[in-house]
Order: sequence, then structure tokens, then C-alpha cells
Amino acid sequence: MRKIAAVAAVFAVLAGAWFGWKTWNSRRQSLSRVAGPAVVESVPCPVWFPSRDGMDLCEETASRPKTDDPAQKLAGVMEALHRGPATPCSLHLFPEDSSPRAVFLSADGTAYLDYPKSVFERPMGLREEFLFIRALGKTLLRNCPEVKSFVLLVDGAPRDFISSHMPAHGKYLLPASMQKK
Amino acid sequence: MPGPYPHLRNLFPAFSLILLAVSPASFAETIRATTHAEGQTRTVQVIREGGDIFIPVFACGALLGADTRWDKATNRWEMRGKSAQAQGFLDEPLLTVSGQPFIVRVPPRLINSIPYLSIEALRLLGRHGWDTDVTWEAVTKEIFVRPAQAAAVGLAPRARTIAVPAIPDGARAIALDPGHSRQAGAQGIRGTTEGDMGLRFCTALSATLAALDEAGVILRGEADDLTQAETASLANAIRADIMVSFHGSVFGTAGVAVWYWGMANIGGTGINFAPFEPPGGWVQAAGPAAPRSAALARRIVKALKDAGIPARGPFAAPLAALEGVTCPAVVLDFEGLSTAEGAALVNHAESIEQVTLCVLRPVLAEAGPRPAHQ
Repeated sequence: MRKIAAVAAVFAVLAGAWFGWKTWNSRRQSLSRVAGPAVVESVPCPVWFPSRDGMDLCEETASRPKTDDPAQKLAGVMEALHRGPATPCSLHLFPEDSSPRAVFLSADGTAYLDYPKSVFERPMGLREEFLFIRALGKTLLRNCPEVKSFVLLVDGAPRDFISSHMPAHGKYLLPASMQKK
Repeated sequence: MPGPYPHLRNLFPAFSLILLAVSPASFAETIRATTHAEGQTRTVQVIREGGDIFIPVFACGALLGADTRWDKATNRWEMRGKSAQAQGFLDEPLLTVSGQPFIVRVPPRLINSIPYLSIEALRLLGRHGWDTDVTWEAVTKEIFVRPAQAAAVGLAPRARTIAVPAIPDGARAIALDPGHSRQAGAQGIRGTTEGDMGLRFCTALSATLAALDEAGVILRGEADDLTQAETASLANAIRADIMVSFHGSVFGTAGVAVWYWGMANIGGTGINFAPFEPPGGWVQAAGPAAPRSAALARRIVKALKDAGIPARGPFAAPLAALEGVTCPAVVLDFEGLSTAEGAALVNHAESIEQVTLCVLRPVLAEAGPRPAHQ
């Protein structure tokens, strides 16, 4: 009889905790519904895209969520690059509506940018691939001082080259001396 | 109509949920796994979470025949086999297998104080490090680890038999690479394709070299689908004195950019490249000839400029087309194939001849003296 009472008491305590959490959570949700979506503060973020004539890079000022977390900053910068250029003088760096499978910043400052195969399946010439590396490198250099190098992966794995010219089987090391330029 | 205790009905699902959440039997199940080494069958506890299956790191190591270590303080796990080594950290999606990085969708994690890898991670380790295929049979709850059936997705050049052309006695061997198979590569205006364009320049240069009793060997013809590693191997097999690779870009304005192999200061950007492959491997085989390649590139840029053809560079980059090539080698990238001027440069017979001559003289100068007749 005592056992049953003890089990019932435990159930009562657990149920009470669950009921309390449910009530608190529903109240919190109703409050957030009234308040609307949380406003995320943005900060300007310089990004580079290939110029329309394909000879150089064009600088644009995009925005990313304000954060001090290096990994979140990197994700925000990559999102800005994926949104593409706002001015007609620049070309998209990534295919429109594409997004990375994963963006991961390791402890040694290497940004691992993992893309689905489709992103690099389009035929790209040597200059296009070169400008891709240059734009990516310059954007990371200026926005993410924590990023010392970057690696491009396709479907989670390294591959021989980006499309068919520039290699993707290693790390692109960013020059520390150019970090603040 | 609500009763006197309207919230009471919530208690029953609550009890059920609590019971489910605290019962280990609800998410852990025993499955049978077969090792690939001796066909041994052993039982391991795995965790199923939604569609994901987690296997203890030590069980993964045992299945692959690897020594496994886990440092609780740093959360670092490591596996060492005879031919491969893998490592990573719990809660991080990055794994390295024999120096190559991989990203998994579901990171390794600690469950009930035991480090676990996802089946996705185990598959990846097997495929890229231990040359095995790992399969999970959901119905029978079995994990099979078998020797890999298909060729592993590796970075080393593919091995297949390629005919090596003979070089006439006393002739210098100039390897000519069209860059791509005929209809592949960048697509410019007026039906210009990168591969077709490259083959046109190779044919012109080969004919000119033949007239001088030199051997211009086109590394891939119209129907060849050789990889870049195979064309490099072929250039090495004929003991080429020089290799010239032709490429085209839709981007840019009309002109020719000349590139040579180098890992430092890529294209003048200050960005360097560090391959995953250790020094002494295939990727960096072009390194010793790089100074001569740079000299050849400078000569070609000068010759093009002297002929009034817009020329850029020379630029250094660890281009795929030059990897593994042991002789001095350059890439000529015809830019602006989407412009009328760019298309004209690669399509008009007169400009093709002009470019051919601009390349020919520096190539023969850099190739050195003709070999003595044997």
C-alpha cells in the first residue's frame, strides 16, 4: 500500500511539473505572439562579387545579424554572399536560390563550406573559378578575422577541383597581413 | 462541457510521456553487427533517434578493426588502423580521415556518458579510410561492414590503360592539352565551347611543330574523355619537354591569361593553397619545374603582347590542369568567350595562327636543344 502511495506521489509531482511547464510555456507563447517576431539587429557587412565584365571584383555593402560569435558571424556573411549582389554591376557568386549544406568554423580558424554538388555542376571557366576564390577570400578576410583559411567541400567530402580548374582538395590560406586592408 | 477538473485530462498523456522519456528500453535497442574481417557477429547497443542511428565510438572502431581512443577531457575521439587514421570531436560535424576533412549532418555526441557516432559517420569512415561499405538494415536491425564494392571516391588519379604515343627519334616532345573533351567546359557565344577551342589550338600547334620535325602530342583527341590526372600522366609518360594546356573563360574581356603552377599568392591575391595531400605526392609534382614554367609563361606573355594580342599575367595557381606534370607547363586561358572579340580570337584562322606562333617560339626556346639521334 505504501509502495502504491509512493508511486502515486512521484507521478503527482511529475505531472505537476509537466502541467506547470505547459501552463508557463503557453503563456510565454501567447506573450510572444502579442510582441511579434524578435527584431534582430543588423550590422553592415562588406561583400565582394565578380564585376559584370568578369575582370575584377565589385564591393557592396550587405548586412548580417549582429553577433560576436565567430561561427554565427561566418554564417551571416555567407548568407549575405548567397543573397547575391544588389547592384546590376555585379554578378552572383553562387547560383541563385542555392545555400550551403553546412558552414562550420573549426578551432584552428578553418571555415569549412559544404555545398551540394549542384552548386558546382555548372560549367565554370578558369577566370570565373579564380574570381570565386578571390571574392570568397576577400569577403572572409574583411568580415571574419577569426577565419584563417577556408575549405570547400561538396556533399560533405573534399573533391579534386571546384568545377574543373581551381583545386578543392586543400585549404585556401588567407593572408593575415591583408586582414585589415 | 468541461468537467470540474478540466486539466485532469492532460495528466494521462503526461504520465505516458514521462514514462516513455525515462525508459531506456524505448530508445536503445540491441542489434547484430557483422564484422568484415572474419565474418564475426557481435551485438552492440545502438541508439535510434528519429531517423538517425548512433553507434558507440568504440564499437565503430571494433567494426572497422581500428584502435579507438576517446579523451573525455577534450571530447576528442580517434581511430587508428593499419592504413588509416580518423579523428574528431564530440558535437562537431567535422571528421578527418587520413588528413582529409569531411562534414557529417549529425555530429558525434555523448549519450549516457558514452561517445557515439552516427551511422552516416561510420559509413564515411569505412568508405574513405578503411575501404569498406557500411550498410544499415533497418528491418533486421543489422549493420554490415564489407569490403568496398565500387572504387572508393578518392583523390588519386584513376588507373586505366592509355596508349602512349611514340616520339620520333631526335624530336622534342611538346605535350598539347585541349583542356576538356570536345563539347565540355565553358560555353561562349557563336557555339564556342572550351574543349573545341582547345583542340583547335592544339591541332594548329601540332601541325606547326610537325613541320619543324618536332613532336606535338595532343593529349586528348575528339572522343577522349581523359581526366586531367590522366592527361598529366600521359605528358609524363612521353617525357614531354614542355606542356601547354588550353582553356577558355566566358568571364572577362577578350585576351589571353597565362598561368603556371604555384601554391603561393594565387593570381596575385595573397591567398595561398595547402593541399591535404602530404608533400611529395601527386599534387605537388609540378613544383620542381615551376621556376621554368614561370619563365616560359613570361616569354609567352611577352610574345603575345608584342603581337598586339591582349595578354595578362603570368599568374601562379595550383591549377588542376597542371597537377602532377613534371615538365615545365603553362595554361593559356582565352578570356571573354562571351564577347565578340573573345570569340573572334579563338575562331578566326588568322588569330589562331598568330597565337600559335606566339606560343611556338617561347616553347621551343624553353624546351632546350633537340635530343641527339640514337
